[in-house]
Amino acid sequence: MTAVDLAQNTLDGLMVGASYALLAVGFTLIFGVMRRLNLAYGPTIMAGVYLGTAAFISLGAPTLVVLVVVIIGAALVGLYVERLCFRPFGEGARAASMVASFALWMQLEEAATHLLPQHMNPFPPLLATQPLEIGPLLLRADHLVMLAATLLIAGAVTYLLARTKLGLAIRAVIDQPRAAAIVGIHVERVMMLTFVLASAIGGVAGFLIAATDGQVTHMIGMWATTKGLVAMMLGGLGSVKGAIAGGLLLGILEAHAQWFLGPQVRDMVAWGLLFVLLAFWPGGLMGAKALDRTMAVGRRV
Amino acid sequence: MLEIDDLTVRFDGIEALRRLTLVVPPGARIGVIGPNGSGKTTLFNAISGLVAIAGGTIRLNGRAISHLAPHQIAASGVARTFQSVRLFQRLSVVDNVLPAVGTTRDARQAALAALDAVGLAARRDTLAGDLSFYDQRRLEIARAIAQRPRLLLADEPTAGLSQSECDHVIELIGNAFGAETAILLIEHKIAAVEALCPRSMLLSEGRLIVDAATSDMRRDPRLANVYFGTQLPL
Amino acid sequence: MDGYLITVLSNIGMISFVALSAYILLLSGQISFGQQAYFGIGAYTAGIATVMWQWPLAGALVLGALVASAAAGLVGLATLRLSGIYFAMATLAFAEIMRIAAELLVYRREIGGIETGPDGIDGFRDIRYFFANDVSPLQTCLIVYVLLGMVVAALFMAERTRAGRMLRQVGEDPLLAEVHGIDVMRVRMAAALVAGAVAGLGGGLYAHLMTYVEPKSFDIMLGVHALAYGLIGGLGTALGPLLGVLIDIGLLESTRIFRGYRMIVFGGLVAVLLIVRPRGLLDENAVGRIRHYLRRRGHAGD
Repeated sequence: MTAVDLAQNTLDGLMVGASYALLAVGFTLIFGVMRRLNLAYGPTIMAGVYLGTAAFISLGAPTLVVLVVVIIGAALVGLYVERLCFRPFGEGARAASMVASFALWMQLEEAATHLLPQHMNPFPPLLATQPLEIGPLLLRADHLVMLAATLLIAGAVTYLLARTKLGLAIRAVIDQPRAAAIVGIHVERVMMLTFVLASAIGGVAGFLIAATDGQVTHMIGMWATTKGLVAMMLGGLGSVKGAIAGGLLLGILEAHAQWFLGPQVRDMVAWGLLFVLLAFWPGGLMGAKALDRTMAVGRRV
Repeated sequence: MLEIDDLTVRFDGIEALRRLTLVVPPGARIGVIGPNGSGKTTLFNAISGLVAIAGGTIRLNGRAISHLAPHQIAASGVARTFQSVRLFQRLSVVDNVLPAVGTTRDARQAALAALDAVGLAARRDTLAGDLSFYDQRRLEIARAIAQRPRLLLADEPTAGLSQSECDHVIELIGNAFGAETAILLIEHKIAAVEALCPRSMLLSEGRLIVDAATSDMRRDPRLANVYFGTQLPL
Repeated sequence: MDGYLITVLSNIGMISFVALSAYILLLSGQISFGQQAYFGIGAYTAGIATVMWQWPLAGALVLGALVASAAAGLVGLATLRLSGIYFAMATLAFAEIMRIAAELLVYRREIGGIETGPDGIDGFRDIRYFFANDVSPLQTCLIVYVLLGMVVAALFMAERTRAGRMLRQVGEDPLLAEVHGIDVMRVRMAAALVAGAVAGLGGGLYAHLMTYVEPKSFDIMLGVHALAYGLIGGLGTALGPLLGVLIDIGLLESTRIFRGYRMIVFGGLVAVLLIVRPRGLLDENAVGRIRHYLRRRGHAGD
């Protein structure tokens, strides 16, 4: 083990973490406005990516067109998920919403395998150049694009939330949906727009991941759901910044764990960290008394 | 029986209760009045262990309860109702009343007796969420009755009820509990307080500012001042 | 009975255990993504007991249930004060850690001249207790249903006790339950222990019926399916999760009506069903009405 290895691992982890961060941003937006878990988030991304792959394989679509297809595909499928799993349910039916999104996960995955039955499918690469050499370190150009895209999107989302009318409405809905409705915000539409936006962001993430791999398998749906969830939870579940930090942290952690301990233990380390964080330091929230979180609600009885 | 000494509760830097001291003897019936935000419900939440207290002590029968869990406080004889009715909506009426204390057969008897006392015995198998609002209010009282409390904390039990329903609920609370049971009643309707509580206290901005006979309270200038006036006569 | 039918029935029975396990926690108001871990722990433990230590089946199944329950208790200590998504993710994290641990678990011994035991990612093969003892598939199926019947009967009886009511009260509104004098943490812990044992028992049966287990059988798919069964079948009674399993495995997977399109049809159906009945087919309302009807008909039942 050398300093170069450590640095290279950190760098690789940072790049992979960028994709996790994007997934976590989408998850956080959806969880923020809905307060419910969208298990179909990964499969939504998968649907977009598969549509893009199909366009690439059967029509020979160029990379940029594939990107557009992926984004629009993910956004439309996101809309479908929102209509069927979230809009009809109130916040009281959290579990029902989540299980409905799981049912659509199964549905989307099967539909995707009908579209492209092979386990592995080619995906147009982003940049097929040689890796850059920075001293002893290697840096893939497409990874750099991924990191840049992540930061760009994160910046755009932050700007949207902080500076625009829609962003204000989103923040209001996140904070207090009922109060938001009273001051004239069309809560359902804000939820729908946020959902579609998050799905589109997921589409970008999916595109970048598939493009840097040069291929796509039917594991991408489950992969995106679990990685996005873990990154979101590591980030503390609540802000775009947290989501980015959680994603990058997960990426770096995994890169080192993989290097030193192998791929199986890599995943174990990530889950272990999440478990310990949740059990002993849940989101950095209060933790002394057993029912604290329930009681915070109780104050308003 | 209930002794509160120098109680302070803070939320995010705001003092919801400031150095409140209060003694409630067994069987006392005390009205708690004061404008919204004066700390009435916070007082109830502090007694039942739902909020952490920042200072002072709460004793029940000589035993400090401020650091007990809510269920332990309930088990030591404190029952409460909520301002916005709070029931197990998807459980049947009788299952709502079956208290956590007591053994099965006795508990069932006590539960049915309590339902009988509020006039809901016939609806024992209905889901609580399917009851009318008035019946839900009465069910909450039945639940408190079944708990056989030494102290009842009733948080605006008449809110949202018509005049006649309101009278009936106050009468129920007056008759259904033993003479040893102390009752603290939060109310905005002075007439309801007068009907049930010989003594009442006025809270304002987290402080106890008047503790007097209810008949005197109505004439007390500080009452009008707290509700309508601009300055506190302290 | 033909072999295929017996296999399908056995599968329905075994998966019902993990569905019931998730259901018990759902009643306590907690959504667990991790009950598959206890199913897996039960499977590995019971399998090791009969194969490596030559235990009788009954002892192995009990051991599997106990070890799973103990694990659930330990996890409960760390997670039960969490709620909502925090609890769901913590339980999933634990289940994934266990699954990967099983991928790393190699415990091989020579038994009767053949090397056997859990072999990491390749799983644990040749759990041949039923074969070695000449137990027919029909008999194994009966064993599954007798045990399942016992668990369901116990849950039915528990529903009528104070403990069962407390469980539902805690699930409905933990704060109100606490103010009502219920020790919410204790009730949740009891639910976690029972749920762990039920899943562990099912896992032990699974290992012996399938004759082999592998880590990937206990992934998040099993856990989320287990949750879904309760919500599809209904949370009003312990028969709800069984109905959910019956609909999915019995009706859709096994009849092969929608071969290749099963999940496309089923996924959509489930989503629509949940819109109409967010707490499943046999929800509290339906169960209340059925009980009322049964009482009026003069049958026993409360």
